This record gives sequence, C-alpha cells and structure tokens, in this order.
Amino acid sequence: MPCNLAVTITKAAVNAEQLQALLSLDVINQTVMAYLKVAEAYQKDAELYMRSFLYRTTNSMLIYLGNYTITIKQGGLVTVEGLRGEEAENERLRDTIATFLAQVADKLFAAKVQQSLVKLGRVKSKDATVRDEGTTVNVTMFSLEI
Amino acid sequence: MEKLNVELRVFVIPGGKLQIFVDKGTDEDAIAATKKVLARLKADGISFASIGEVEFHRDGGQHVHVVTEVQNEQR
Repeated sequence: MPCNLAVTITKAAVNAEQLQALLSLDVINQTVMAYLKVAEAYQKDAELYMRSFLYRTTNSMLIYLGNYTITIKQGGLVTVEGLRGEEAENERLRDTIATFLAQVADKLFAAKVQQSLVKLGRVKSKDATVRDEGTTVNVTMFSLEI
Repeated sequence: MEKLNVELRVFVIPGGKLQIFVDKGTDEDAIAATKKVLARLKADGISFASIGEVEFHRDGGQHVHVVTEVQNEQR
C-alpha cells in the first residue's frame, strides 16, 4: 500500500538494553556456533571449526576456535583474542559476530512485537525492504486490523 | 474489545525502532488505534525510550518507504 494513503504515522524506539536483554546465553549458544559453521571465513577451514569448543560461565560464553578465543557476554558484547600481529583479523571476526548478534536481537524483538500484536487481531507478517532516512534497510512489517 | 475498523502496519526496524502506520480510518480512530497498539506493547513488557507525536501524514515528515516485501509463513 502506498504511503500516501496513510492517515497517521507514529515513531517509537526502545533502548539498546532492551535488545541486549534478548541475547541470553542460551540464545547465544544456539545461534553463534551455527553461524560460525556457515560463515565464509570458517568454511574455508573446516578443521578450524571442528577443533572449536564452547565453555559457558555464569554470564558469558567462551568459544575456542583455532587460534581465536571469542568471549561473548550475556547481552552480546563480543571480544576476540587471536594471534599477536593479527589484530585486524581479530577485529573483523569480532565485528562479524557482533553484527550477527544484532540481527538475532532484531529478529527476536520483531517476534516479541508480533506476539503482542496478535492479541489485538489477526496479524500478517512480511519481510520488507524500506528506504529509511536515505538508506535501504531490511525490516519486518506486520499488518492488522483492529 | 471495541473494534475501530482501522487498518494499520507496524514496521520493526533494526536497532529497536518501530513505525506505526494507520492506513485507513478517521483521524480520531487512527490516534485511538495507535494508542491501543502502544498500550498493548507496553503491557507485554516493551518499554519505549521514545515515542514520537502521532504525525498526520498530510503534514509530510520523514518515514520509511517500502521498496520490496515478501509474505512470511503465517504462524
């Protein structure tokens, strides 16, 4: 539906902490290793992946992946330690995982919104691409009648 | 529950942002529907850091424009 038919538009936002709260250790555990398994950089070295293992502490996950020690705290804060002199690669891996976890949090937040909206009426869900403030972003769009 | 006969869309944008578009209905019903949605979300534990004014689209303003959309499986 073209936006020129809209009657009203209202914008709202939650704070970052609310998204971070969705990234529990269980969620991190279930998603990150599966993600690393298919990530481009680690597909090229299957042995690296096979030698990986997880260690869970009270509030963080430790992933030993080849030469890397990846620490992910509850809430999604990622640090990567690797070989001396390969800081750029460490940062790249950290950013890759952090971006992935942000996408996981966005999906979980959308699911939470949907669970709430269904209490108001039948909800149709679509994945959409939108232009927002000059950039193209992927969003979840829910339609309903109330 | 009072039926408003209002069609709306809720866009969930990366980074915890929402935009609520009321596509059909009177101005009064659009405001009521928006308040109803926000109240429902709050009741279900979503706390907002910011909620903008209800903007009447005829006044212009920045908002998302759909480029493509793909129907998801119904849950």
